Amino acid sequence: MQHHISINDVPHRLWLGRSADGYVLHVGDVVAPVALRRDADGQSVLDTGERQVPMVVAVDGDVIHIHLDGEAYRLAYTDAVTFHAAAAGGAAGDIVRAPMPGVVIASPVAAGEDVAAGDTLIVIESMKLETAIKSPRAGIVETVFFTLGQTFDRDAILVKLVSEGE
Amino acid sequence: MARILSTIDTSSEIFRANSAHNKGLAEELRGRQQAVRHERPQRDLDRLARQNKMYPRDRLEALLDPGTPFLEFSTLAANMAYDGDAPGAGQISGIGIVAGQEVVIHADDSSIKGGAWYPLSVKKIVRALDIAIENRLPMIHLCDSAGGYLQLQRELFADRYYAGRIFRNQSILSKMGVPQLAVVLGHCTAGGAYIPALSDYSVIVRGTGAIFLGGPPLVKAATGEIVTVEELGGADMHTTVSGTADYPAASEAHALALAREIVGSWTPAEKTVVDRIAPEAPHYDPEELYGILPRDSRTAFDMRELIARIVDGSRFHEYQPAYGTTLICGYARIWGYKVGILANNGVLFNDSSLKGAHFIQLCDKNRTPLLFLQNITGFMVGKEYERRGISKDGAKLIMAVSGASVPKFTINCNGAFGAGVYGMSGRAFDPRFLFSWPGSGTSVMGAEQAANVLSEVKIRQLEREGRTLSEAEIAAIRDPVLENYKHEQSAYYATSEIWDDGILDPVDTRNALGMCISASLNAPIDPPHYGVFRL
Repeated sequence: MQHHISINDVPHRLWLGRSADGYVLHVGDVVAPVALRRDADGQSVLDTGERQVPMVVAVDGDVIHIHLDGEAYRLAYTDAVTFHAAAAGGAAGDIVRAPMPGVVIASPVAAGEDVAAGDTLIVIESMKLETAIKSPRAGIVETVFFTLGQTFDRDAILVKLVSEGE
Repeated sequence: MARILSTIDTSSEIFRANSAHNKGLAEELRGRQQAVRHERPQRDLDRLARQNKMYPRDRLEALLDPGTPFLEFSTLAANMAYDGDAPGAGQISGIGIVAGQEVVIHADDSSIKGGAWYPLSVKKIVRALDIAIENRLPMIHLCDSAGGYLQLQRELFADRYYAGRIFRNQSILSKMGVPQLAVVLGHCTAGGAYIPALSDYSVIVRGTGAIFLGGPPLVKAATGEIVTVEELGGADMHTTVSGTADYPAASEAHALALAREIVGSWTPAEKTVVDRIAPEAPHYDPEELYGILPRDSRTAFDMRELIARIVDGSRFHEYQPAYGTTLICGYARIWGYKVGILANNGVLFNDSSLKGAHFIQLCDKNRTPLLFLQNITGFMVGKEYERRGISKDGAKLIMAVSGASVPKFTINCNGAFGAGVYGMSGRAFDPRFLFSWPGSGTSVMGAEQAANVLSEVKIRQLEREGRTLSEAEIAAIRDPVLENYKHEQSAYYATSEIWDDGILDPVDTRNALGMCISASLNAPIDPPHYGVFRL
């Protein structure tokens, strides 16, 4: 499984492996040795064996800015789990269940409404505690199974989202 | 360490003829492996696509670290069983690198009969788990199986090493503290449900993955309850309600990404330290192995010539070079790891057996793994040798082989016939790994000897009844035996029955051994201890 990196918002797949001598970059069918060194002045130098290119690297959270050969590049790394979860329409399912028995005290969304991931779908009260049940993913509400004041058991299906691909 | 001085004339007629013959065998091996790995009827591929499933080899590629080797086991299992209906016994197994860690992988091949378990599928899975246990390697199961192949249940269910052994082995591996992960990519029904349930970690794919003791049709038949796959054992039910699986995944790719992250969270094992230096390529070209192996396996050749093309720098320190010369013993290195090699240069006599038994104990004391290069036709027979105690000297060698604590590795280079196989760490002696070369054979005795012995018995019996046999009648008794033995002693038959861990192209042997030695060092090595040697 390869890494997912976007360079100036263009997605790339690559892998950084190891050989006896150091790092090896795998891109498509190309396998090339690479190294990032510092010269005597503390300048970073990208060494691909054939070329030694000075470069400037700045890390800003999950984004890396690179200045190389007179061009600026913006690199963003997405870990494989996040990438494939997003590619498959999110890891979460269509069904939202009750984490504990309780009663509905607010019902802010109705069937057919668009919701974003993290939007409150329903608010329940249980064991003197108010809990907002959030949408696990973006989507459309298919059914809200309980109305204000209704009680339910643990694991009852509270809300169903319209299945992806339907 | 001195370099072996090769006396092979690579321009000779014999060398070139051998080379052409053995390259042909290697070519055939590659062709057959390629077919098992990648060739399927279109309808099976269409079915996988319809089910929204990846081809099993693509799953493997997504799971493994790119650019790292995968040592596959028993690729040609079941190649001579079930009319060829279950290539690879419908299973993929091997050692690979996931998130930087050596792991054993077992994957149901759902492109073959829905991943159904044939008797040899069960044997292959049990062997993969045995490899994990013996070498303390973490294990990943990629589960997608229709369940046991019911028509052959008597050969896969009840006995000690049948399906139950899979689950017993999983439990033992867990008890040893070696982590296990199951990725549920299809249905895990009945016994198959225990693979994820007994794994320390499990990931299940929403929509295609399911775990249940009885599927919807069975439930309906048993209790009349009508239930969908998702309700009965789908990803959401198991990860939110039953707790049978740990992580729901939105797709196979997502599941495999999660699997890699989980393996990355495991603390790598501390490897057993053995003598190792920087590796050195063999001085003599391994390609020359093709020219050294004879076309007729009964032709004798010097095993030092093989050693010279497998070990680091072709360097070999020979132990007792002048004594018991039909068994070559000595030290060499493979990928920098020191090994003690035992290789047959003829039949085992009293002196060669004693030398072997002594050398094994030296290696064991010295914490040096053992490599057996088999080209063995047996222990010497005859009055003279029995009087000298060939049986008790052979017993000493077998006692040493059985008792050695250091890891053992066995290659059948040419032939493995008769009781000599026991002395040369055959399958029954738990070498960590055993591979065959394509032209090799194995059986209790050679085909010709067996045909002669069996026809001789028959002829005597008929003579007692006062009948004499014509040449044609003798041939009618002898020829079918010869044919049958030749068929059943081939490397392809041995690997079909999983008597080995696979057939190796001779030139790949050095790399395979490097991976095997590295894998074996995940397990600690017991102090040397032995049974009673009959002196």
